[in-house]
Amino acid sequence: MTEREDVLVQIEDLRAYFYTDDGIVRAVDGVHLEIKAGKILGIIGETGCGKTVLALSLMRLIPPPGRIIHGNIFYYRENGKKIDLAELPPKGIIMREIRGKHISMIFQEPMVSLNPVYTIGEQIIENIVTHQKMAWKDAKMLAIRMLEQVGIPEPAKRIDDYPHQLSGGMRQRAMIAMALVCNPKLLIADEPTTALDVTVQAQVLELLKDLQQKMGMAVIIITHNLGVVAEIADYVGVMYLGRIMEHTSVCDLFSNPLHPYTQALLKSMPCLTAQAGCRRKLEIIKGDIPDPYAKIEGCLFASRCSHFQDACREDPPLIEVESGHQVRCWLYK
Amino acid sequence: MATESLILEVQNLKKYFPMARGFFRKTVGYVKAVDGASFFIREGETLGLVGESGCGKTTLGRCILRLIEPTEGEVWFQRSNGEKIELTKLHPEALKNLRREIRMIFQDPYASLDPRLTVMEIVGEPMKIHGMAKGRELEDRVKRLLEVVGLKAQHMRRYPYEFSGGQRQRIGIARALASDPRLIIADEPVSALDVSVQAQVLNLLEELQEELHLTYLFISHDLSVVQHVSDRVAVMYLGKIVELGNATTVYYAAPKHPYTEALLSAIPQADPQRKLKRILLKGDVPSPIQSPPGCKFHPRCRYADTLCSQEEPTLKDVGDHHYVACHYAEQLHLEGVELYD
Amino acid sequence: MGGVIIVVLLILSIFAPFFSPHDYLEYSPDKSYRPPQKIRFVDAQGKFHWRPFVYDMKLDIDPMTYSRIYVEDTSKILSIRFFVRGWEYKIFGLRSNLHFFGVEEGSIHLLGTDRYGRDLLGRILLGGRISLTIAFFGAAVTVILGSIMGTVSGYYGGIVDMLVQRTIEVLQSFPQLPLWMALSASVPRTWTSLQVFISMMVIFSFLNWPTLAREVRGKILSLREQDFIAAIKEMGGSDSRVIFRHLLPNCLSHVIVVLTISIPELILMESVLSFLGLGIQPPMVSWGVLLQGAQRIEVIGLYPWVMAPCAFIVLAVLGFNFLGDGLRDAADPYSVKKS
Repeated sequence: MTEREDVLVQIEDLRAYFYTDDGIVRAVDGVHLEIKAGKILGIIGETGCGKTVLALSLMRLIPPPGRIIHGNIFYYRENGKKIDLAELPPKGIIMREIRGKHISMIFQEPMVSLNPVYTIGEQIIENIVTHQKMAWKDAKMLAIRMLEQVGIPEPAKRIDDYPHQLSGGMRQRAMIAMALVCNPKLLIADEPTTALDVTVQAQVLELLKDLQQKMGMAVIIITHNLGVVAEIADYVGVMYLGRIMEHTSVCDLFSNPLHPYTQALLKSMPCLTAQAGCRRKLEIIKGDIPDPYAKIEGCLFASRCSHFQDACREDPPLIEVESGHQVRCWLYK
Repeated sequence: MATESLILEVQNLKKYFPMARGFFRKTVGYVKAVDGASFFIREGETLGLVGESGCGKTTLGRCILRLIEPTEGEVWFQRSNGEKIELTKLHPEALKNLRREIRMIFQDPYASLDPRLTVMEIVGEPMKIHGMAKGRELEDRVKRLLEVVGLKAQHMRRYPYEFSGGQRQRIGIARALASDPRLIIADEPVSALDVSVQAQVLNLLEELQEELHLTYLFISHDLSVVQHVSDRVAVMYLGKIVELGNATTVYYAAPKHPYTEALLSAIPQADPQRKLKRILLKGDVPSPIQSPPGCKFHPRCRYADTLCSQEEPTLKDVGDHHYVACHYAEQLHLEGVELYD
Repeated sequence: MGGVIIVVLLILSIFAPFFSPHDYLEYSPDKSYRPPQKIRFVDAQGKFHWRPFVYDMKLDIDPMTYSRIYVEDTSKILSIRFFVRGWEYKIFGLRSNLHFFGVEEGSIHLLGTDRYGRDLLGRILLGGRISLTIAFFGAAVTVILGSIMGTVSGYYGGIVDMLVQRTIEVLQSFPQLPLWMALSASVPRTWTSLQVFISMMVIFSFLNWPTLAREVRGKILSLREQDFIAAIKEMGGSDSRVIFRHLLPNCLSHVIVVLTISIPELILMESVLSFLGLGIQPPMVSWGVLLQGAQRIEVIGLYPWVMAPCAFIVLAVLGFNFLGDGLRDAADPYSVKKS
């Protein structure tokens, strides 16, 4: 129990598949992950790697035809008891309580996830009233305080605005206020800054970091942008085709990437650290991300990997190279 | 300026979209998408055009090609024989002819290819329109083009939906190359792609430039990508170019406009050990309908004073072909991205 | 599935005389309102016959109500034979007297007869010719007019768009049924039934195109803003190239949807008007005209088989809807399975 103390959520061999007419999509295919209380976990991966589905399975919000077919998601409550979220009925009373109050989520495009016919105030207050026994008036006070905390100017006035009256950055702030108003233990941010401009992205990231330190919740930040991860995360999981390929602290990831996929990803990104003037060719990962319907035998990255060897025909396990640095690659056996 | 060969020169280009209201569609105001932009591109170079969303960079790109008719301003294009032509007032027939030489690559690889045509038809279309080839010859040229952009020739009978985003963008590039252009306007060509695929496309664009002596106007909101591909950079804010200069100078040595400085400091660094001094800009980009008087950046600028709120600075040369639109360009000492080995 | 129904209906209507054993124009007052004869294989004695047969009908008087009823005459077995010679007809200028089926003596009315003793099956098949022709012609004009107006309006916008849209609004703001009735009523009574028929087709298509034009315009408006259209202009493509090579083909699935809704609509429209006596005029026959015979509730109560044309209308409407679904899937480039 002692070493488990700082673990908030433990995911064990989670598999979430989508059963479509065209075949099975293995969106999440055997993920092991520990989410530590009060830390920021970054999940990076390209389109279709299953990072969003992973987040949705924590919330038990996977849309049909997808469902969790295997694995556990242990959530450690304050009283030390653990519950398996994967077992709970998604629409049951416990899950509803956990969603919003214990785990909440913000999405990439705030305009889509805010209801356009209600003011942002009404939406935040509704969220408070659903989860806490509180009068509408008190809830409104709380909502205004929350909006102030996320840096919305004149919150008492803005609370009566409709989502379309706010700019993209402000909307994302409102979303964050809504997600945090019940003091969740875990905040999942799915590409929170992808739709925003660089200068606004910097503001929002700064805000997330600030709030995390103030409120002490755990954060999962899902992104395809390595820069964002480097800015904000404490530790990182690199996801490819539904699996975590590498899992380590953020400093390790950038100074000592081990998995060939991570290495290639880092090298393929144009970054400002390059020597000025001399244009270096970007290293590329050959080929495309495989067809999501295909079942791949052996290592998932083998077809694009430059270190391919015979062992790769078999699926590598997650290997602990050093303490806290795990890699799913035969090179480190 | 006159000694170099300028393939494109844009002078004071403006595009105002009227806003109409009510039953009689009365014009109640204008969206000043592009509001007096001036810059030039040298033959054979890549000019990166950066700016945040809504700054008018896409409109600017399309105005040059007259996909959107500009409201005002001049666009001079130099043909291969050295003759200079003004595009904004050109007759449609003459313009069609020029469209062989200036081509465009679009952002969204899904929306920019007609879903009902095969790859062969898509890539061959410019050649058909300009009567460059037909029949067998057309087919051969399409095959060659597909190979040039790294696709297989036997893919030419397939439809766009059978390809991934990166492959579709390659088809788009092949289509742009089909009419032997000299200038390519690439409007966010990699923003819809994943990092690993983005690198493939960027490399392809660079190789093509070397092989075919192309000139690029590379429009993007991603500063790192622009830095990677560009020789020179133009920074756009609310419809205007605020800084134009050598990529290295603007990024590293000495950005001269406070907006550029803030923009650069906001880039998330892919290195957790280096935490930059971040200049957080206040607020959001103002709406292009009611832009602030004076310097458009002054409400968000930390160096602004009364002069900035009254008088609009013009783009002027601060030496070595580095143009800045700021009253205090020469006084301010701004920091770019720090260089590490 | 839908296609099969439609093709069968079309063949039946085109070769109506071939499929009807009796002359549908022949009056025989002694056979007025004769009920359908059942096709049988087993006779009254329980004997099995390989060749299907019907019993002849004879007229009788109901002893209770003294009304005329038909009873099966079990002593007369009329074997059904295929490809028999019967009454003479002309089809595409060819004279023939060959029929798909028939009986050698007596008469066979599988769907009964109408008030004048005419074979209902034959009349329905003949009526199908008119009803389907109107529907197809109307649909063709709808497609042509609707696509052109919709495209012009959506692509060029401005004043043209304004004019077309206002016209459509005016046309659509009339209450539908009275408008049809007014237009149909304005057709002079003195015209021959052929002239009436043609004017009906014109009226139907005239009233039907706005729906399609709206649909096409909406689609064009959204397609026009897509990058691939910008790409064609960027490479120097002309307006006609943009419209005919790129915009219209991409509207195809929409056109098909509207088309498959509008053909059955036209069939129904024609039936309604003819049923009310405003559309096709006898002696021309359409499904609506046939249903005119079923206007009175007593008639339906006593002789329910006069409703048979309804079944054909339902079949045709459903058939077109199924066909439409199939065609739309076939026209949609995204629905093709990856190989």
